[in-house]
Amino acid sequence: MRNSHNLPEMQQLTDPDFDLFLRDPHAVLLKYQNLVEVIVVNCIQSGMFPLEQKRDIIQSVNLHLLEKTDAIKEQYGGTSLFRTYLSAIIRNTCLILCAQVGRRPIPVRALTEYDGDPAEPVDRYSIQLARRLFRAILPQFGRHLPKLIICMKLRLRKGLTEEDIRAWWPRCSPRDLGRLLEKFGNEYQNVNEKQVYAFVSPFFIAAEGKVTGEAAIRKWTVLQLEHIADVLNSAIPGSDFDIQSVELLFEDYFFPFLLRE
Amino acid sequence: MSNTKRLFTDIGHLNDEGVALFVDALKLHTVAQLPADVRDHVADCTDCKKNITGVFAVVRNEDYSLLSQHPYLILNRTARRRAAGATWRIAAAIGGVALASALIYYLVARNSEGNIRQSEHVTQESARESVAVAAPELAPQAAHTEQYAAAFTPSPEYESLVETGTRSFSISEVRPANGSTNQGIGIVFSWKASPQKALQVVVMDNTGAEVWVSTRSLPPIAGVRKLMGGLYYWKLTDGEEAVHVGKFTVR
Repeated sequence: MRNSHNLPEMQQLTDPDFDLFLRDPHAVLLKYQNLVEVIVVNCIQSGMFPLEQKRDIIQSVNLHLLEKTDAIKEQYGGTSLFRTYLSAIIRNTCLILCAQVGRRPIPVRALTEYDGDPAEPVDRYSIQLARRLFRAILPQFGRHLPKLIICMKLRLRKGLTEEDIRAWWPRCSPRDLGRLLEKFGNEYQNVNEKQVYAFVSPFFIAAEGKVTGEAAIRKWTVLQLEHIADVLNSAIPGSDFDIQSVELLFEDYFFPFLLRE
Repeated sequence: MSNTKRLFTDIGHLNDEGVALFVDALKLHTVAQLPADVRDHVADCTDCKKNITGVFAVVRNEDYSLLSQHPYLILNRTARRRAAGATWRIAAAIGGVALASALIYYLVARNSEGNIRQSEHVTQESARESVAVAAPELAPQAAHTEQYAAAFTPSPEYESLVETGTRSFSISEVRPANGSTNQGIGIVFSWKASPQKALQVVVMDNTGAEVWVSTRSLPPIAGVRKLMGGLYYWKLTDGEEAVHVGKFTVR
């Protein structure tokens, strides 16, 4: 079984693109021109650069990569795919270039303004992008994810499942499981927020082994929503996600209703 | 260096390579394979989440599915091959033990009664020894419970795909129904596809590892593999794309 704490003892730099990069960086740059263009176009779509500057930006990125050749050779340890590593470098370069020109990204319409009309291409693009990135953010919560799912379902009054509860509280007794499912397993829209948190608070204390008041649960949930909005706003320059729009993304995650990709 | 320090900057955040490795894991649905300190750091760090999501955003349309190997992550295909290899090795070991037991029994049966008693004594001693050896391997109840619970953790990657379909296919009357609870053996997969076409059933556990793949066929298809308790996802594929994704639980 792979040791979860250690990387392989002898990291083999088997990525053929990196081998080629060691010998001939220009050849790799040539090979990855499509990737450079894709990332630059992506930045243009998110409003970081005007479309007419596309060729200039690609040139600047290439120049920057050539200047960084020695640093890349030294720093890349062969743990990730070289292609993804280079994507990270290219994106960082675009961010630097964007900061240099001091351009303000084009605002993306807030998700809460979405009126369900799939005909508008900008909406379609923004929502699909937000949805996809949101679903890439969730696994990053790691050990906090089961708690986040529970808290968000309670906040949005969505039915808890046995899987949700067991993932969050593995040692939950059948009795407690039954009580939680009885209370929150089905429709409970008519239960107000205060009642919800008052009921679950003792279960949180039992599950986490520490005193967790109603206010603490609510505060923790809001903090995670703010973090997600922050991450989305950072990944989609010019976007304006807030707690409400992230709640909407959770609604869509629990019961997909937005655009199908 | 063999530890994960090389994935972090001097101030403790993921460096470009650490970020790239996390993005690889997101693309390949193998986040659980990442080093624990990488996962734990990202779980608590908004800055690293921003970097990872930013890089993911620019490679989101890149197709990683044809990747044959990764320098660190074990791809699901490889995992399946290794699991299959391990199964065969275990089966061979069990077969070997059974054969040896039969041979011993045969030889013992030919010996005198006294020898048989002695042999029984030896066998009982061996049994006691084997129990003594096996006992520490039994996981404590709590660990077992956590392990069991972990098998039910929904996969964010696959949850988003459940019940999605394609324009080229209409799939209906799908069994097992989404969210249904099943026995671990004898699950029958059935559906109505329009246009009718032979499809392949691929069953994955909640980590995304493929646990059973059918030959391409028309429904119904009986799952021949016994599944342990847990949450499973399954997809119907025509060899090029998934035309339906569903999920079910095994108790």
